[in-house]
Formats: sequence, structure tokens, C-alpha cells
Amino acid sequence: MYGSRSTNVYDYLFKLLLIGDSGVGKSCLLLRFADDTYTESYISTIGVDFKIRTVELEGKAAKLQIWDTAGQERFRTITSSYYRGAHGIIVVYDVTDQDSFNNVKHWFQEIDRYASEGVNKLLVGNKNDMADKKVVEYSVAKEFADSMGIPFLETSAKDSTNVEQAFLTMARQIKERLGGAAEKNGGASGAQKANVNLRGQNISQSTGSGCC
Amino acid sequence: MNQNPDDAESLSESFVCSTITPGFGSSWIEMEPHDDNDNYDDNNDITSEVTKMNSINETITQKQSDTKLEQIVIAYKSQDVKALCVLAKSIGGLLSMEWRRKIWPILLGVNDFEAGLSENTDNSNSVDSIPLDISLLDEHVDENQVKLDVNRAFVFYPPVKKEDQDIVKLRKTELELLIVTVLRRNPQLRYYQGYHDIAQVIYLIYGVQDAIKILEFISLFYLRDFMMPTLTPSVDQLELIPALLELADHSLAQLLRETKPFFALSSILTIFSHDISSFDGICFIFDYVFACKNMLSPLFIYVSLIIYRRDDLLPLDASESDIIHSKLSHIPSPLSLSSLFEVTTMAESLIERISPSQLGEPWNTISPYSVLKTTAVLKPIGNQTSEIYEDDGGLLMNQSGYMDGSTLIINEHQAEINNENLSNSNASLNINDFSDSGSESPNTMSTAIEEHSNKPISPISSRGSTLSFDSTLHKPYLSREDIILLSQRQIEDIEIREQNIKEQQAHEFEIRLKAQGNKRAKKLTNSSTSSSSTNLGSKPEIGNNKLSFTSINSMMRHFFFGKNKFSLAYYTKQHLGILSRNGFFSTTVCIGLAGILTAWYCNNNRIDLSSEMKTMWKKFRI
Repeated sequence: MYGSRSTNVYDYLFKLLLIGDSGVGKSCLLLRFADDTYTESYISTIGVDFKIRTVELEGKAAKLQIWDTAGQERFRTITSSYYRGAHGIIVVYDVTDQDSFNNVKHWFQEIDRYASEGVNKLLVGNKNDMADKKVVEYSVAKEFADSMGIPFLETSAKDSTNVEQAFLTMARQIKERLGGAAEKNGGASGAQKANVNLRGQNISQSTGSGCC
Repeated sequence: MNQNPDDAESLSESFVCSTITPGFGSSWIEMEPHDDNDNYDDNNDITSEVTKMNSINETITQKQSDTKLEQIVIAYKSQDVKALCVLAKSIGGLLSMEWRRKIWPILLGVNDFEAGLSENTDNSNSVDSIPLDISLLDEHVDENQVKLDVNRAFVFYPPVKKEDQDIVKLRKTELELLIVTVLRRNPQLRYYQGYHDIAQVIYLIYGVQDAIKILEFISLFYLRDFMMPTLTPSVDQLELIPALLELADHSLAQLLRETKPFFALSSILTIFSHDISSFDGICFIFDYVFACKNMLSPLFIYVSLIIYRRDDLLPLDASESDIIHSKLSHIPSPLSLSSLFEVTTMAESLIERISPSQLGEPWNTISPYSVLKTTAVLKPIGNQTSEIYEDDGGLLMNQSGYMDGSTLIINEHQAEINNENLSNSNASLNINDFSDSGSESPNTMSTAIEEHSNKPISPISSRGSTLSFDSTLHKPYLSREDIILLSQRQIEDIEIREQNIKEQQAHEFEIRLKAQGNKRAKKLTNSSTSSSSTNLGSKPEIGNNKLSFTSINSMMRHFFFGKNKFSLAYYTKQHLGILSRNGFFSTTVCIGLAGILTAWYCNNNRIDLSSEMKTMWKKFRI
């Protein structure tokens, strides 16, 4: 994971965060996207951890550092401290679990509370392969996402459906939002440095608008 | 949960007695060499797991294992707890499931546990002492989360052939039953993700029925901090890691200075059972921790593990906190038993070298009710002292350091001191400072125990006043009632602390807002205020008055409904102090309110104002 960091050449570094109720498949989505694997027997996530994958966006290399979080509510004190550094946050629910969808709005509230202003958001309904158990209809989720002005996708970590699209959608949006500001300057600056530049830009923009 | 208990029982036994069951038997669990691995060749994962096991087993030769086994048998037969502790801490620990089954209760001090254990697991009728019927108990709030996590259990071990998935299903059902039973029996405890990892180990060793008592005991005495309503006490424990590392290895501590210790979360919360993938490895860590009898030992092990990986870590840059977090949160796998033994040996030397009082602020932040300060507390033996416990309504603790051999409150002399304190200041906090008596108590305590038990006991060495206190003093721990009371206190303690922190934060934010006075910031206050209130379970509202009102509400609740007479002084001090300092309420209102409440309360309970209260009054007036 981190071993390949120094050899990777990249133009952007984006930090993404996966949040959502416990058991909706956040870790499986990440495993599918980062390692292109899937396992039925996956362990619970305790705390936070990340995986990295570098993707190409319009001829530029974007390194995605994707943080996976524990879903249980009691861990929110820890996971919420990772919101601020994120450029994009993906809220995941399970299409076979109505409660996990009902809780989506709470997760968006968490974003409003802890994340940087203007952070990109994406709603993802996972486990879409389980058609017979599906209880959250596409139209309902889509309507909700539209009302919030947030893009929405139904995915399946199991059969890979839309997993790439979900993360790439997010990456593209971040790139659009931050534009040239996100470009890594210099050659060998580390993850932190690129990130500081990004955040610096972001913050100065928002305070600028606040003054107006 | 609704499965036929007979089926469950017989299958659980077939696992517990797995040394004779082909397919998922001794090969993965016993230290003896084995050649029945061919069974698993059709499954890649399992093959690799078995290979891993083999490589670990290689670290202990058959001869060494045999010699150690003999020693274990002798120590067990003579109930030599001290020798058992030494054996548990030596390489490979207690070697097998069978011996762990027998010896863990002794190390833990689960009284009379042996009596409740079935001697012959082949006879299903013999295991009927522990009720498995939980239908009469109220549902626990976290049962849904338990289900979700149990579904993701039994991933790394035990190895199962692909066609034997039914056994996995059964194990999951039983594990869920086990956890839910313990939770329903202890509704004051909350479930956390990772608890299932510990429960899984206990279940595999004991089977569902016998595991209930052990798991409940471990939960109440060892895992209590993690099972509080919020994560705060767990985070408090994690904060000790940088402090410990600073004393143990300055350059590594410098490297980690910009990284929050959340990397250790899963290891500490699960006593490494979430992160070490070999069952033997986990069991050895459990052997070690149970032999230490103190929940500081996992923290020491963690710090030792960081030091063990020193060469890997030092090339990193302190500013790369993400990379450091990621690297540390993954324990290198597989970690052989000899590597683990190296780590615990290092931990042992750190334990001897570092006293928790050296840790400064992070140690002082730890609640006196934390397992870190209460594990290894002995309860006074005999009616006299226990009566005082009840009167006191709480437990005696040494605020300055460990709850260990050196601070065990057991002799009558100390009981008298306590009695005096009680009569003098009924309303004061019941945490008496016995820091001065710490050095002399071990011997007096030994004597006290000797009197009661009529067994010769060797006095504790002054060195052993840390984690490795004399194991022969292993006597009854606090009772279940004591510990439940303790956990209630702990919950109250956390509530107050979090409330105070949030109020202070809100106040600081308020000041910052006034200084900034811009719109965007105003929006943020609203959200931060509501977040603090939501976390406390009350409805969010904005503004000074509401904050004060919440505090007063909470205070009133404790005054009127809390049966603890000490809450009066404590809450008044905490809440009114904060309120008046922050200017949410005028000092006059605070005094007035406190006065009315106090008068009412004291009158009803026939309590005189303590000297502490009087001092506080004076403080308010000024």
C-alpha cells in the first residue's frame, strides 16, 4: 500500500472518505476498487484505515487515498476527525437495508458538521446484485440525491458494477472543483505537502467568499 | 438464537472436544506436531493458514513443549498460581486449548468457576448450570450490531473445509447467543465492534455455555472502559501510548508526535485479537494479559510492538502521519510465537521500568473508575470491611497510581481510615488518597489474607508493585455488584466530563465567533452546538441559555434520581463551577440554585455539608 508510494508519479492527490452504516459494504467497495478482489468473509473495520489507487483523469495521474471507516456510531468521535482533510466523501447505504438508507441523511449532517466547506459528496447504494432482497428503490434514492444536488450510483462490490464509476465520478468532480490548484507542484513532494497546498487553496477560497 | 439448545450444545461440544474430531481438530490448535494437514489442501486459504501455523509451531520443539506441559500439569495440580503465571508468560503461553480452558479461570480469578465447568464434555447433561435462555431478559440496544459483526467472524480461524460451512453457521449462531447473553445480563455495558473478536476466542476455548461466565467476567473487569456509552475512556487509554513511548523510546515518540494514537484502536480494544491472525498468537497474548491481571499490559505490549518494528518505522517522516497511521494499524502478519514472545519480554521490562505515575497528564486524565486503575483490585475479605464498602457506596482507590498489590485496600487499619473519612465528610468524593500507605500495604495485606485464608503467602516484593504483583495473592476480586456500581460511577463520570468539555468548547467557540463576527462562522456554531447536544442524547438547541439549562437538567437529574450521595458535591462542583466560570449563569444564580438543591437534598438525606462543600461555597462567594 504505502510501499508503492515513493515510486508512484502523480499529478494530484485526492483524499476520499467512505462513510455509512455498519455492514453496508464500505470495505468491500474499497477492496474491489483498490485491489479488484472480493471476499464473502470480510472482517469488521475498527477505527479508520486507507488504501491507495492511482487513476488517470484526462491524461493526468490522480492518486486516490481512500479512507475506510468503522460504521458503528460509537466510533464517530474518531472517524469524524478525518472528515476535514477529505476532498470527497462517499456515503454508502445497503439497498437491501432500509435503515441504512434512512440513516443517510444523518451521515450528510455529519459531513456538514465536520467536513471542509465545498467538499464533494456522492451517494452510493451498494449490494445491488441482491435483486430479490432489494428494498430501497432506485427512484427513491435518486430523488433524495437530486433534492440534495448530489450524484448517486447503485453499485455492487460483488460483481463490480459501477464501483469504478463511483470512485472516478468522485475524482473527476474534485478535479473540476479544485482545478489547477490541485496540481502537485514540484516533483518529489510527499502526500502531505500536496495535501497542504490543496487545503490551503481551499480554505483561502472559502474565507474569501465569506468576506464578500 | 432460537436454535434447539440440544443441537447447539452437542455441536459446541464437538468443537470443544475437537482434539478427537477429525476435520477441524487439534491440528490448528495444539502445539504438538501434526500431519493431518492434507485435509485442507483443497482450500487455498486454509492451506496457507496451516502453513503459517506450522511455521509458528516450529519455534517450540516437541521436547520443549513436553517439558513445559509437565510443568503446567504440576503447577495446575498444586494450584500454584504464581508458577502458572510464569508459565503463561513464557514462550507459547499455556500451549493448548485444553490447558487454557482450565487455567484462564484461575489466572482471572473467576471464583468457583471450576465447579461450574463440566468435567466430562461428552456428557451433555453435565453442562446445565448456566442458563442459555435469554428470552426472559430485556433486549439489549446493540443486538443488531452484534448480528452484523458476528456475520463477519471466524474469518482467519479455525480452518474449515469448504463443504463444512454448516459448522461456521452454527458457530456464528452460538457466538451471537453468547454475546447477547452477556449483554442482556449486563445492560449497563454497551457493545463495541471488536468485542466480538474477543468473544470469538473465548467461545472457541470454552464453547458457548461455559464461555458466558468467562466473557462476562472479562467484560466487567477488563473491557469495561471500552463498553461505556461513549468512546472517551477508550481514547483516554490510547492517549497513554505516546506517553509510554516517550519514556520507552524517545526517537520513536518524536516520529509519532504528529500522529493521533488511533492506529492502536483495534489492537487495544480487542486485546490484539482483531489484528493477530493466528489463533495461537492471540491465545498467547491472552495468556500474558490474564497472567498480568492488569489492563495496562496490552498498552505496554503495544508500545513494545512499536519498538519491535523500529527499523521499519524510523525511515518515515513525522509529517507523514497518514502513512505512519496505516503502517502501525497493520500488525505484520504472520507474527510468530517467538516474535510475540520477544515483544512480551520487552513489555515485561518496560512494566518493571515505567510506573504509570510517570505518564503525567494522560494518566491523570484516566478516570479513577477505569479498568486501568481498578484491575487487580482485591476485595476485602470478611464482613467488617465489606460492610464499609457498602456504606461507602463505592470502592477505595489510590488516585496516585495503580490499583495493584501495593494499593489493595484490605486491612482494617485502612478501613478505619476510610470509616473516619466517611463520617467526617459524607458528601465528599469517596476516592481517598492512600498514596502514602501504598508502600506498606502489600505486607499488611498479605497478613490480612493470610489470616483469612490460613495459607502461607509470600509478601509482595516492592518491585512487584506494578503489573506483576504477587500472583499467590490471587484472591476474590470485587463482587459483581461492586463492579456494576463501579461501572455506573464510571458512566456518570464520563457524562460529567464530556459535558464539561463540550461546554468549554462551546464557550471558546463563542468567544472566537464574537471576535470573528462573520456569517459563516455563525453557521458553524449552530452545527457544533447541536452536535454536542445530540451526543448527549438531548435535543439540540442553540445559545447560552440552553447550554446552561442542559447542565442544570443533568445536575438536577443526578440530585433527584441519583442515589449516590456523593454526586451532590461532585456535580455541584463540576457544573456550577464551570457554569459560573464561563459566565453562562451569574454566580449569584449558581449559588442560589445550589443552595436550594443542597438544602433540600441534605435535609432529605440527613447530611451535613462537608468541608469540601463549604470551601466551594466560599469560592463561589469570592
